[in-house]
Amino acid sequence: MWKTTFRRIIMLIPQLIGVTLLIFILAEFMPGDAFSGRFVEDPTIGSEREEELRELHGLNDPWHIRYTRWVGDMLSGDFGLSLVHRRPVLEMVAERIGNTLLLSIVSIVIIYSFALPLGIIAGKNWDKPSEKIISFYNFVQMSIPTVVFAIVLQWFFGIILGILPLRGSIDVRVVNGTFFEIWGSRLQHVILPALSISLLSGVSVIRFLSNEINEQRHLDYTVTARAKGLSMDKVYRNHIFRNSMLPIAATSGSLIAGLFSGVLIIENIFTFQGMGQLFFTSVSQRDWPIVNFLVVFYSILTMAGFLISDIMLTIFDPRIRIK
Amino acid sequence: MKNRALSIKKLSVSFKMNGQYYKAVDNIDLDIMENEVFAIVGESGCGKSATAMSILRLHNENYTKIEGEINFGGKDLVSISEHGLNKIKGKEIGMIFQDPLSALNPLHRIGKQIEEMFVIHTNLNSLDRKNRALELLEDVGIPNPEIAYNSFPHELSGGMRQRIIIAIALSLSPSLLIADEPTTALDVTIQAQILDLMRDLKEKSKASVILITHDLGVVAEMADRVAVMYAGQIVELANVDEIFENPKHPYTKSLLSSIPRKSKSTNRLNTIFGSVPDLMNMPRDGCRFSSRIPWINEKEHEENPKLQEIEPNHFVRCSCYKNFHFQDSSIEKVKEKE
Repeated sequence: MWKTTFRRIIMLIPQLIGVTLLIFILAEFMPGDAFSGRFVEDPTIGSEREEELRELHGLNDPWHIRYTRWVGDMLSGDFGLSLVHRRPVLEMVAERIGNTLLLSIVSIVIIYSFALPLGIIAGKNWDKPSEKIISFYNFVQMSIPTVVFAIVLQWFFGIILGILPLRGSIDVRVVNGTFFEIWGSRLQHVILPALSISLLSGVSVIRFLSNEINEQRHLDYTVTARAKGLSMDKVYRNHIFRNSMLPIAATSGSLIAGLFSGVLIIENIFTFQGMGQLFFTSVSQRDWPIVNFLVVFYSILTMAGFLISDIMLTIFDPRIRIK
Repeated sequence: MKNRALSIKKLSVSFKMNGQYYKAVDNIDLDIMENEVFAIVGESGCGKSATAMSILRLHNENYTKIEGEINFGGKDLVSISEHGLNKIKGKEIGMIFQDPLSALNPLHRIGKQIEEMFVIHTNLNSLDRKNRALELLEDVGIPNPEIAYNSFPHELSGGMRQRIIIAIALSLSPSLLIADEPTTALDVTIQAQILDLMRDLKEKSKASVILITHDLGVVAEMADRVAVMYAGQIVELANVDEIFENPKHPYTKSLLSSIPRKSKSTNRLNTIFGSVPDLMNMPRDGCRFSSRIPWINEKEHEENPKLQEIEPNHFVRCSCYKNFHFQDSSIEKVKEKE
């Protein structure tokens, strides 16, 4: 198992090079740079001075030199300054990463804690009323765009019931409060965005799991297990469930990766002070150092997601281990 | 007179298709004696596997209806509770499956899959379970039991896996063994080994065996008595020698004439006209085989054919056997020469 994992990690290196190159090239294609249009309203700085500044910051160097400089700086931990706020990128991201992590973890917990049981119930009761109801729920949930669903949640829990905050990541009044006050408020704020992400993402988990259980139930090894004298409950528990988890493990990587892109939109709807919101405002302000950093960061997270799902697969499935 | 190990009475097995039930096994009666190997032969789709699977009710229950009686050890397996049946499954009736790769759970080690039998049916502690599992692996001729014990199914060859399946089936010395096409998925040399093994183990354990196969070679090697099934019915039932030397029913004759022989007097192998009708289009009246021997006059068939004892212990269905001849007369001639 360790061999498989090690080989898999080694394979990340070319992937990383590819991703950073791609990001760099895409940024290259975008019109303008950090200085274009910046000094239009400042008559004291002419186009000559602008050109000097370009030279000074190395923006006129050939692309491969700028690329290696960028990657080299990142490797040495220097991610540059935000062009808008004149503060280190790392510092700005660090302020937000906690919120995004909290949102993502809560979402993952919600996804698996409601989708796995529902998937199992639907899989066990294939073609019966309970499966039909769950499938119908899946269908409805799948047809609602994230944005609409989030707004409906806001309206219902925030306005009609008035029990959960509409936006933000913490109540400003408790920022200097006790530990419990702070975390209570944070959790309260995270529920709605987490629900909007996870109820939608959970649909695929329910679908995969119930299909798989229904399929596994008809395979020969299940018949063997029944012929051994196991009750159907135990056939499910000892055989079918574990085998049905394989596709869940395999798709967990893309699920987690998809979660981050979901977070981008959701954080904006809820003005949740996380990395997604930072990303959005940075793009609209053309704050490239932050945007580039975040894109690289998300790419690494995505790769890590797939790595984790691959490792989980090798744990679950002996057939793909390398000896 | 030997005792009956299993007695099947008026068994019908129906499968639900498009909301309607169709009988795949139609009203069959069978007695399996103690310590005998009873073979059920026929083409695919004739109901032989459906019969075997219904003994332990292994079909998908949502789509299957089993009617009739299956008496085993004083109990009726058709009407017994799920719980009661689970105590018999594996312990008193062992089952060997066709495809040794898919019949084992790919994610569990071999040892665990064998020991599961002891976990279900005995109170052995883990050390005893392991020792018994290793013994079993040795009994079925696995060269390195310790290695096999810790292997996953995909790490073993097809023949080895089939030995594991046999080890699992025999782990609690059942009095009846159901082997559903045990050699079909194996290549010929391995087939012979597995058949030898099954025969040895059967001699040792004194178990009765129900052998489901479409391979008449396997029947000749293993069986004491044979039932030939066609379209959900038994069409001929006799001792193995009788079936091979004195076949009566046109279907049995056709099957036998379809085996390649070494004799050079014939170039073409006989084939049986047409194919087994599928479940939804199966003829339900008259002689079901008539559509595959259309050159035989309608009048030769009975209107409502029943299994009849034409000689002691030799049963045949439908009178069409009396004047049956092959369409291609050269087959008869070859047979006569032999």
